[in-house]
Amino acid sequence: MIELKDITKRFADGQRALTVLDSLSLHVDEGEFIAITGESGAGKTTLLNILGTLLAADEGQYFIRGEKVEVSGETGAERLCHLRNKEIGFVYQDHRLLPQFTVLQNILLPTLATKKTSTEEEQKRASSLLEFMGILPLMDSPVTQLSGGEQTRVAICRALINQPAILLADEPTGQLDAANTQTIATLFQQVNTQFHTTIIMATHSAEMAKVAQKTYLLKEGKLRIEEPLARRSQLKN
Amino acid sequence: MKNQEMKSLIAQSRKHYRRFYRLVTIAVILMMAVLTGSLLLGDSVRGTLVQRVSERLGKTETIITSGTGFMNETLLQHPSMKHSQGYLLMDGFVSVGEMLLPVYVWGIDTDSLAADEVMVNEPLYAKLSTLDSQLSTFVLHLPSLNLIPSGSLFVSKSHATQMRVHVAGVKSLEDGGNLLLKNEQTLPLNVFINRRQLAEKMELEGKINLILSDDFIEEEQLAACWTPEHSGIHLTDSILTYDGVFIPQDIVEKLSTLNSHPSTIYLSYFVNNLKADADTVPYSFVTAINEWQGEPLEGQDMILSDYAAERLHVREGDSIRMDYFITKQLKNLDTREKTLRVKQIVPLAAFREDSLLMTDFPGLTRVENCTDWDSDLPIDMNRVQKEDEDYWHIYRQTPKAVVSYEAVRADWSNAFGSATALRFSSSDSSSHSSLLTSFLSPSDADVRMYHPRAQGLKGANGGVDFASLFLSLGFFIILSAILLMKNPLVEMFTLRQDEIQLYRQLGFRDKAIRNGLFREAFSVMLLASPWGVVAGLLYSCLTLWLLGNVWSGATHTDGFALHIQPLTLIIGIVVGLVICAFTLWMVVRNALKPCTSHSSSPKPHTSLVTPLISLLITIVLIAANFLYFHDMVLFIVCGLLWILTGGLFLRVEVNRQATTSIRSILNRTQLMWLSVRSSLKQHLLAYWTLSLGVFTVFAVGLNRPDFSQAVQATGGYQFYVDSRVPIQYDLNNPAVRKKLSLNALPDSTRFLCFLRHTQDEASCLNLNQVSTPTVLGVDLKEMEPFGLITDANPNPNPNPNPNSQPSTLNSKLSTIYIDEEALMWSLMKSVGDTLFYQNERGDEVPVVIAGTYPTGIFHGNAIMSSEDFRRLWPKESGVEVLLMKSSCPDEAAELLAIAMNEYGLHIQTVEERIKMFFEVTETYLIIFLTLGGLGLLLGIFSLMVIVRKNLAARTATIRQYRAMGFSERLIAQLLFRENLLVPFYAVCVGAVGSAISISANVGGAGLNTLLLAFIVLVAIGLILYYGIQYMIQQTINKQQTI
Repeated sequence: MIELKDITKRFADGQRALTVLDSLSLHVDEGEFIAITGESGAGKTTLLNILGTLLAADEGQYFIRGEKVEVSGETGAERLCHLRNKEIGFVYQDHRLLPQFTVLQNILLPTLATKKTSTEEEQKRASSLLEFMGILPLMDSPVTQLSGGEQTRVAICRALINQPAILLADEPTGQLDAANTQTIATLFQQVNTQFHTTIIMATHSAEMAKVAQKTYLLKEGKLRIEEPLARRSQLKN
Repeated sequence: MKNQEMKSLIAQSRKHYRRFYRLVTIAVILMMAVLTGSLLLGDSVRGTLVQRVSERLGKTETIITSGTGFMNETLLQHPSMKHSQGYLLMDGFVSVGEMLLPVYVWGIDTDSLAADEVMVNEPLYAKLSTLDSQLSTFVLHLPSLNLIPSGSLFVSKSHATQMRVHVAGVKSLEDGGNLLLKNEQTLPLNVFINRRQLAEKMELEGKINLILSDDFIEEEQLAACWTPEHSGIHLTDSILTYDGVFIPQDIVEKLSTLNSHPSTIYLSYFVNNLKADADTVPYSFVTAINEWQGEPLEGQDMILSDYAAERLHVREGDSIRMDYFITKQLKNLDTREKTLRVKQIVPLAAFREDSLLMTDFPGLTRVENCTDWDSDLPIDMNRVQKEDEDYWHIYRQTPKAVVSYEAVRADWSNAFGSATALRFSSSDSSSHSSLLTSFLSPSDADVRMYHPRAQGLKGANGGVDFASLFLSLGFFIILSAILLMKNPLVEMFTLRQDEIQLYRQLGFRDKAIRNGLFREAFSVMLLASPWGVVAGLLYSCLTLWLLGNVWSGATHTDGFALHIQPLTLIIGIVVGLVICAFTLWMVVRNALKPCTSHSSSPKPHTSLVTPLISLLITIVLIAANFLYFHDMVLFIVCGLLWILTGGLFLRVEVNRQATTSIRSILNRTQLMWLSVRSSLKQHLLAYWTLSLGVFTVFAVGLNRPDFSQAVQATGGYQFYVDSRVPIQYDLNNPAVRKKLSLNALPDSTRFLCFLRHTQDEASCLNLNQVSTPTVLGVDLKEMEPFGLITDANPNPNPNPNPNSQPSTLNSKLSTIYIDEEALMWSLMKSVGDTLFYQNERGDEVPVVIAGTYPTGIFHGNAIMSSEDFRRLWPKESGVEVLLMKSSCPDEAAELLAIAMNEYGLHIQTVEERIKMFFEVTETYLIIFLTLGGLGLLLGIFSLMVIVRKNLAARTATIRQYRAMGFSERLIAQLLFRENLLVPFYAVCVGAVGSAISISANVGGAGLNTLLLAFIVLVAIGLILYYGIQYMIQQTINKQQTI
């Protein structure tokens, strides 16, 4: 599904260049749920932005379903917009819900990227997603009145409204308490299994990493696969 | 923390947030520039006007004039007049080709000017050079100034004489070339000529009518050096005569109160007929006296010469009918007849013995034959017989009869006097002479003095306040600069909310945080203020240059000099800094306020009732105003109502669109409405600022009354004629038209004649303060078409002027009417106030402002009834202002100009005259439009700062849009629509509002100005369009690079 080959990304740090990703490679199968952990500043968000086509790598190649992803060029940009809208969903730590819109409007927002009006079908889908997330009664509420957990769920709904194949989540539970983290972790697991969505999640949370099928550690610009925590604890015992 | 460390922190913060402070600095400089610049303009205009006072007066401290009479130059020989110069000053005009230039002709004492040589001042030279660069000679027209006033009956030479003169040199400003006695800033056109030659030409040898003294002469000093002889009042052998023939009635009355009063009063006259039954003696001199050979002559008594008795075949006791002309206004003649009784018949020699019975009337007496008589009287020469000529050859003006003074005094007296000679009973001439000197004062002989410098300086210092004017005109720039200052500050402090919270967490009190932030930002303002003052100097220099060139229509000057008063600069800086401090304090205070919850916003207004009611009221008012009232103010109110309605609709529509979209299928338009609603307060602020800005600039800038179409402005007349030489005739009189070769004028041609008492120019052309405007005397009924309503009007206007008050405030008081604009702006008085004019006796006379009339061709003049006018200034009998209307206007004007070319007529169409006044208003409006437009641009720029702030706050939204797959173009489109919607709407509503407000005067602005306004509007639209587009693109590009 996703193939990263020798991805390198550098940022300017004053006079010198700081290499955040260093010849990083990754392969993710369709329907796989992986977690990426690492220290703050390790480059998790950068990696997700490259995966989300929001950022171009300095070196290396990126393939989705075997098709090379080019971030530069005008026609490329249009194609990327389409890709982001139809194939990729994003969930951020700060949710990035737009305060001027209601819950439903926020969820339907991605549907307007390619056409002027959302359809009834999309509205029904939004309702289903809200029901799936257990927040249907909040449909017409302003997002500013929601709790952190509710906002995360709305953000997941919004990411899923166009039925993307890939869901990228950047610290989705970073601002939540343990109980909410557990709930969201379960929801992600359900999304993965029920919608067969490929999920790549950057997280600090062990609870969240636990629900992933694979966990990678991002360190010094490279990914290293880690044993799932459950197996590790079994081996330890 | 040490003070030094705090300073360092503040400096670092300033550096860190320099992109905000850069804008603040620009805003402070702009505001200070307009503020200080406007104050400097006030100083400069005032300073220049004060300078003009010195330029036009030179060293003159005292001015002595002699009214319509003259003074003997011997008066200058008195020690008190050591530093005084005598002049013969008259209004003349210069003709170059077909051009007539009104000039002041100064007869000066000089040896450098030969016969027919003149010097001109620089402004006149410049004007002549533009007409003909090679011009070295021109024809100078001079009014007929005689010892006998031209307004009196027996004078025929009432127009101008002319002389071809050679320009011998140019009299510079330093040399007193710009001498002017009027309180005006406009430069005079002066011609200087040798006084002795001028006097010779005018037959006024040894006479002057003006003394300018470098000394401050007191009334007592003048009284001490003046004698009646200096004013042409001669007392020889107990006989008093006057150069002007007619001894002023005041003097006659005053002398009659003396113990040794004159025993005999003489008043000679020219009568048409002496009749007795079938016999008639035509055209005879008759003298009225109060006593004959010691016996009082009373009632209908007549002493007849034996010559006349013989021709009339009468005896003592018989009746004789005597008819003669009397003059009404403008030498309109009427014939009166009196029946007298022959008390005594005396030999003609008895009349010849008393020389006082004979008076010298030039034109009548200095001729060889009766047929040579030259006077205003319509003498029928066919009636003059041989015996009349024979009498004339022998006896000349010897009277044929003497009549009772009492019987004819009222008919034969005129404005200039009521006697031609006085005889004192005692023969002690010296005692009479000394008595006369002590008894008469200079003012009795119309000799008056005043000190012009104080008056001039008062007028200059109290003149049009350009500081206030330009502060008002530049108001939008100041307002926009304040907005431009406030917006980046708000943006910066919003960004620094975390910093503020941190300070709080660290234990800083709000007051300390507030003070710290204030000090940081205010230090920038302090540093910017000197640059603002420098910019202010540049602003005032530029404006002064524009006022002297491009905008000279507002001031009618060749420019102003920059005058810098340190106090003004200090006031400018202090006021500017106070505004800065206040703005900053408000921003800092708001920045420290706790944030209000988003959910606590009030329930949105979605009802259309209020905006619809407002719209209905607006439409009804507009329709009613169009159909019935045609009131300019009401149209402006309608325009404002329109903007209010627009604002109400905007608020409701945004809420309505946003609310209805909650449950409906989402679309991009709803995205826009929802985004607008999320910051509705800011959008409404932008709406009010832009719509009211556009409205004010265009509504004021384009609202120009179309005077030329207003009947009340012209009274239906077509031409306004200003005569340099007073016209002593009624041009409506067919006989006069024939006499003046105007009989070819179409019968439909009508003239409205005005007497004029020249005082201050009170129109908008004069920048000096005015206390007494020039008065025009006319029959007030004739002023009805001009909208002047008096209570004496039997047919009141159906739309009476609300400012009019009955003229019978006090029946003993004289009343005047002043045009609305001059009353309000030049005089700063109101109806019912009193002005004080000096009458011909030298008394300060209260004159009540009884009402106003719409501003039009008489702008700047006070209108007075002819009766009041003649009571105050009886000697000013000639017409100087005429209105003319005709069925063939152009032909009539041409004929008038040709026939009366010696009068120096300045004939202009009423449209031209109104345009002349309107040019001032128009220029001010152009200045307002220019400065207002600049302010509006600055306002748009500060609106851009708000947009930028909004865009900065939408960073997360933009990122989210991108993450969701929105293309850059679509994101830009969405942001563009939501940011442009309200500004565009505001500009459109403001433009329509201003169009409504100018409906009353839509023709006044003219097509070019309307076109210019349209171009400016389009420019505003384009600036908004491309400015917002640019900023959105910048924001998106910035996001891409992160």
